[in-house]
Amino acid sequence: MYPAPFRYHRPATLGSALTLLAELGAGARPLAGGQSLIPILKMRMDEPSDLVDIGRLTELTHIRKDADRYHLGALATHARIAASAAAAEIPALHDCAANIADPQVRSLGTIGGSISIADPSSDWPTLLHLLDAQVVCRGLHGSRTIDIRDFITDSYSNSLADGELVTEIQIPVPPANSGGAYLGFKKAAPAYPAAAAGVQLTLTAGNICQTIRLALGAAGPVPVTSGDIEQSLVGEPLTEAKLQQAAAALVDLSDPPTDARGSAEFKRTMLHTLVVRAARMALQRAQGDVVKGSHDYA
Amino acid sequence: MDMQFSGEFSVARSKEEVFAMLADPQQFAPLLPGYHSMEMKDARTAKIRARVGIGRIGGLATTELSLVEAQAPHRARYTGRGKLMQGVYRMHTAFDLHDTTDGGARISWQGKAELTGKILSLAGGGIRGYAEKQITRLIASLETALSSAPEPEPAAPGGWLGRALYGLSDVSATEARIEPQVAPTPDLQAQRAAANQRIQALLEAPRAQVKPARREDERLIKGKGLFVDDYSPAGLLHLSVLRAPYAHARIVNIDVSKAQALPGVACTLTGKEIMELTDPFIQIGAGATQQITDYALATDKVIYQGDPVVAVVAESVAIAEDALQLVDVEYEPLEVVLDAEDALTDRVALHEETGTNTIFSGVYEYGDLEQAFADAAHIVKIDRLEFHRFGSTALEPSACVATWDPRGEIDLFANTIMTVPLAFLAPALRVRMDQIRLRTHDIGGSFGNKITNYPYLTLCCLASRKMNGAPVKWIETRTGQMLTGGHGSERIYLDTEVALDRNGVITGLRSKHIDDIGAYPRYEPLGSVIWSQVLPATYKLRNIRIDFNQVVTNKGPSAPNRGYSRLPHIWFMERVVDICGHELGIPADQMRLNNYIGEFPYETPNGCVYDSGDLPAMLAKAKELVGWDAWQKKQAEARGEGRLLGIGIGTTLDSGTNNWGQARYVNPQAPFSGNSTAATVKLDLDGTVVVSLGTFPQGQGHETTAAQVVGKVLGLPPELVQVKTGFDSLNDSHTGQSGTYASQFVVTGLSAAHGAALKLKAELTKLACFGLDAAAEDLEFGVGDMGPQVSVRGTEQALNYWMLANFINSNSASLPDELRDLSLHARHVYMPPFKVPDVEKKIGNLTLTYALQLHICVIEVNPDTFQTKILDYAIVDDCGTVINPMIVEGQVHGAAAHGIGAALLEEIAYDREGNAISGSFTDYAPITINAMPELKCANRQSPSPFTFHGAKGMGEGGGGPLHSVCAALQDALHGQDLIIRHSHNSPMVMFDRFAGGTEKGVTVESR
Amino acid sequence: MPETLPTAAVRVTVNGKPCERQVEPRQLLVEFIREELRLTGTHIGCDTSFCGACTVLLDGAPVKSCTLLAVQADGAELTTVEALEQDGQVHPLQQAFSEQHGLQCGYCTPGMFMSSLALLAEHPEPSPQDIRKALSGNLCRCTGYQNIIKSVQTAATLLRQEG
Repeated sequence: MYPAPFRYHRPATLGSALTLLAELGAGARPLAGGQSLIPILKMRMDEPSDLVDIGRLTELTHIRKDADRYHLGALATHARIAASAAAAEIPALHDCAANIADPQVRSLGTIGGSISIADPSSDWPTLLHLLDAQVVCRGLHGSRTIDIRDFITDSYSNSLADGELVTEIQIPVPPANSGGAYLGFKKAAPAYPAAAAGVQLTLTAGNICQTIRLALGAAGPVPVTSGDIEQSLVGEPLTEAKLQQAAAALVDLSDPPTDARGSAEFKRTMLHTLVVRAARMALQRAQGDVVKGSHDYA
Repeated sequence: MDMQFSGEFSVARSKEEVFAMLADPQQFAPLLPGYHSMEMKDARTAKIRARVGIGRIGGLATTELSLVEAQAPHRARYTGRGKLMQGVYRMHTAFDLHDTTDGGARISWQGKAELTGKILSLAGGGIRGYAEKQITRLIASLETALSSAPEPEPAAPGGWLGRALYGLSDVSATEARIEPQVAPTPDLQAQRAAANQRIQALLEAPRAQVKPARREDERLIKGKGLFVDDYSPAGLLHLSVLRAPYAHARIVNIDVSKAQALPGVACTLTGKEIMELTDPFIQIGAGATQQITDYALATDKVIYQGDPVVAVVAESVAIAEDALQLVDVEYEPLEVVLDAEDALTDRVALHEETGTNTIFSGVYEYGDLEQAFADAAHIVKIDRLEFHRFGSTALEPSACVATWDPRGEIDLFANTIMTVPLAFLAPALRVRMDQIRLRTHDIGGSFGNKITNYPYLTLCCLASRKMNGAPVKWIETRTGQMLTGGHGSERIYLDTEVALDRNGVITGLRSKHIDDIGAYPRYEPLGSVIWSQVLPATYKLRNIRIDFNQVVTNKGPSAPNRGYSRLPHIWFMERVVDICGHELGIPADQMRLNNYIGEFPYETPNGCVYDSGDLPAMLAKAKELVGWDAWQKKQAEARGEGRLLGIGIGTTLDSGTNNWGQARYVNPQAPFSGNSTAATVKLDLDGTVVVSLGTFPQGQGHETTAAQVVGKVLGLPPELVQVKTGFDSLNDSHTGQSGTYASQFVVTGLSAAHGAALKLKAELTKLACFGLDAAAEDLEFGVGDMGPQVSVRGTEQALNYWMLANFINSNSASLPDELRDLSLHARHVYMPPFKVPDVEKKIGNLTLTYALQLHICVIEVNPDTFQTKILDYAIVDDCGTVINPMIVEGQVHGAAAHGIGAALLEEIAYDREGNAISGSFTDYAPITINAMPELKCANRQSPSPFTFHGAKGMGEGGGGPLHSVCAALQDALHGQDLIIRHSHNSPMVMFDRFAGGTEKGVTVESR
Repeated sequence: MPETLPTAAVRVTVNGKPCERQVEPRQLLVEFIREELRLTGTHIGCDTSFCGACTVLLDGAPVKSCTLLAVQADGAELTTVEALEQDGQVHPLQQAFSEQHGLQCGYCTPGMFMSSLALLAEHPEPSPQDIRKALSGNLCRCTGYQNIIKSVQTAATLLRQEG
């Protein structure tokens, strides 16, 4: 299987890439690691006139930390993120990065490419919701920072303007006594998850919930979150009953499609199970336990 | 996928104005979202290009939109059809206009859209929501456009298709720009350098001259195998196939003109041309089945999604795929038949020329059912069991390179797996068999599936002839393979009734079985009889009646798949025994012991002879291996904690070496019986021992074991025996039944090689007697200083193989007359001692050997999500004398993986319209390393009395895990009053079946 | 008719040897390796980045060469199965797979080797769990994986003994 013919460009700098994308217009696509885009091109689901290979832009490969946030360049690969200090400090980030697809895909796939394609089953959008990430985008006329909640707008859709690129993802450093977990369920490593869920929380003394984020993935066109449900847990001890209740309320908001990966009802049950498990794991981690997270395989 | 929609909105324009816009395709079309451009085909029909996509993904869709009704100023109705993103759609939409009180118009609209094809698998198939949004968007844009003067949207880019089909230019003036490389950041550079260095260090490890464990490994571990795709003769052309997006549709028109005009395209083939150039493939079945016209391309109808419609031959696969996009096929969808019981009604006949979907119908009845049920202490009734569709999906897809030279000789380098396809191919192509040189080399697995790739081989031959003898290569795509390249048939089992005595011994069984074989019979209806090789499975019941039907449906044509036809039957028998045990409260192991066949050889009620084995001993060994007693304790504890833990036994048979006479049960005219397999063993000019087999190995190590057997006959170590790789019809070592199928190589292939080696040895003996002037009984075969030799026992006198070969090949004048009929080219045809079965009574010995396997699975089921985890797994196999333990264990592991995959992960499923929803590996997800438990394996050896070495075929494996996993799940869930009635039990399907409660479907009457 | 689109240069080092070709930008790396360089040990088993038969090492990291354009690899060091054998002698990884019967038809084997090499470069003493994770993107339809796990463990032992 082969992509339809296209014209190939490889700019050396971000500036040059943005100029090219602006010149080429709506028929052009940026190519980062290609792990989502190339299969789509091979199936000829998309037939861009031009591909702009941004995979080598040195401006976008960084992974660094400053006083209060991690900066993940859009071209940071899943593998590099999994091996980074950021992942060592944020277990949920590790859960996600180290379990996306398989080692081969993780070698090439990038965080920026993944959220730019915005496959409704992909892992990063859900994980980034947990971590209150900000997406930095740059167009020919400047850059802007978009909250991940506003960035992903629909299946395969986001708020990038034509010719605009994701340049960086920023993740606030979680406060002390934080913990999180991200879990998915899929048939095999290289398959997309049928359901995924994550929890990130901070505890005060006495294990009272100070902050919490819950998110469901592959649960509809965009990750499913609820400020109200999160708020209802703040200031409370996170008992099993509370978690079950919150999970049920959150799953009620989900709208997973019935498809080859399971019926909507099955997926809702799986989402419920996963979010409760992630919450338990997050609690343990917030209390300092080392708990290895892993996706479930059918 | 069908979508219905309706609604209404009002605009501040008069009904007449609105009607004028809606009923004029030229005004209406530009209102569509993503509109690019259009042209009018006639006054009422517009060809519209619009960009259609999902978010950022998408491409140019073409739609032919026709105004089919216009009642001014009340009603306008359109129909449309088009292609988009590897799918096709049809739509109907109607607008009814009404006056509003304020002088405007109220527009009520309704419509229907059907979307089909590969696009449905996007996003795991969850695109309905998006498609509905598109329709909302369409209506919103209509509403806006009708309310105010429309702002023309900038034309959407047309992409490659726009350029190719319509000459639309959307490539900007910007030249392809590749700027000089910028070095990666220092940290990234350092990371890459370190990674490269670590690999480099590993690559610098000292190499060794190692004798590989199998001789096939010698090339395969070096990446030096020769698979079909590795073979690229000069001038090669590539063939790609356009497949039907519909499961059932009439072909109205095919336009290949644009594809043919694409630079780099050599030619195209359509069904019409195929009908002129070929005859329909032969049909194995009898009666109406003989009327089926099956060609290499669809002719007037497509009858499954993936049915090949057009072939394009081009300089590269990429160009061929480009050209496929330019082919325009107009279809008229027809009603689909996807259910076996529905197919039996002939409500819609797929093959109209026959008028029926039934391919085989027959009764297999043995013993006295009336008496068995009259005497029964218990009668267990099971309303329905289902065996699902899955495929072994060999990693190498089907492939061939065909060269039909202008002199009429066809060279076919392919990965087919038996000679039977030649019998389909040659008559279809109207050539003699000697005109086709069929050869194979390395084959990347088949598991039976590749038997039915001959339609594509036919296409390549025709394409080569059309291109004056240029070699033409076809490599099946995985997506194509998933649609059509080898599904095992589905089977349903209806109204099963089981008679048991007081002790839980089954005394009678009756049931109605229907095989769903998909669209074309091809190798079928042989599956309608092959199951009866294992009629009672491993159980001693004598009274059995099975009403067997086989039907076609609008799904991919099935092919033999590892465990072909017997596996679904053994699974049925295993479910019956297991369900009866559970319902009657008899422990699983006891239930088996109560019912197992005792003494071997054992003649089954239908005359098959099970050769050897000891089932209770196997059970004991497997229980020991898995730690049965300990698991029983853990299970009791788990149940106390509310956990669902089950232990299941699967006992299975692998019947090997067919008696082809059984084909007469499905077609009394079939000119087959017995089983012939050939091999040749010769001395080459230099005395090298060369073996040619008639088989098509795909990883089973035939070269290794054949060298072992021939070496043993001649007193040589295996490394001094050369075995030619693959099959070559020029080797003259095949028969009409040669092949690698039905667990038979160890018997047929090795017996043929053994027989040929004995013949060669006899000739060598005669020559050596003459050359050494010695008596035959004084001769010794072995290896001397000058290689393989024949010597006179206790003396220095010897002749090596070169000298012996020389007598025949280069030095014949010295030979006495009586030795001049020798050739040192021994061909042996092995024919097992079969008789023609009794077709009327359906009695006869259908297979020569029966390998046995006993599996025990321990599984835990999550009560909420039905996720499963195999906690322990043990296998005991008995395939008689083991020729090569390593290869046997490898086959056991591989068959176990296929069974576990099928039981828990793999299902080829269709939606209601016949769209394959597992159309890629990503959606089908064949079993990966993550899902494989560690297997505990042991072996017993009960030599077969019917083979020269005591070995039995065992490659198919009998699907043990399907039986053991289902039994273990049953054991785990029986406390919940749930019955495992399906062979496929992924968490997804178990959840849907069980979470909302289910009908048990099983009753017990006890007297 | 589609215009002829410009080709692009691909300069790579393959198994230590520099190679340069001018290719159509849509050419996949696996085609480049198999058809341009005629290194046919790397196989194609699916269309959707699932099976891993096409796995090669790109700057030391395993990648699926069917999901990568050849032009994307420009400037990289590539390692394929052909790097393992030297003068007819085999690498410990090859020896181990043969000894432990970690291959049957041999179609997945080159990809398995490349993923295993990447694993062993990071983990000289991999646990069965490490091996499962490293090979989770490599499909085998013949062996049931059990002997593949054993093969990788044996290779690790051989490499440690020799290292």
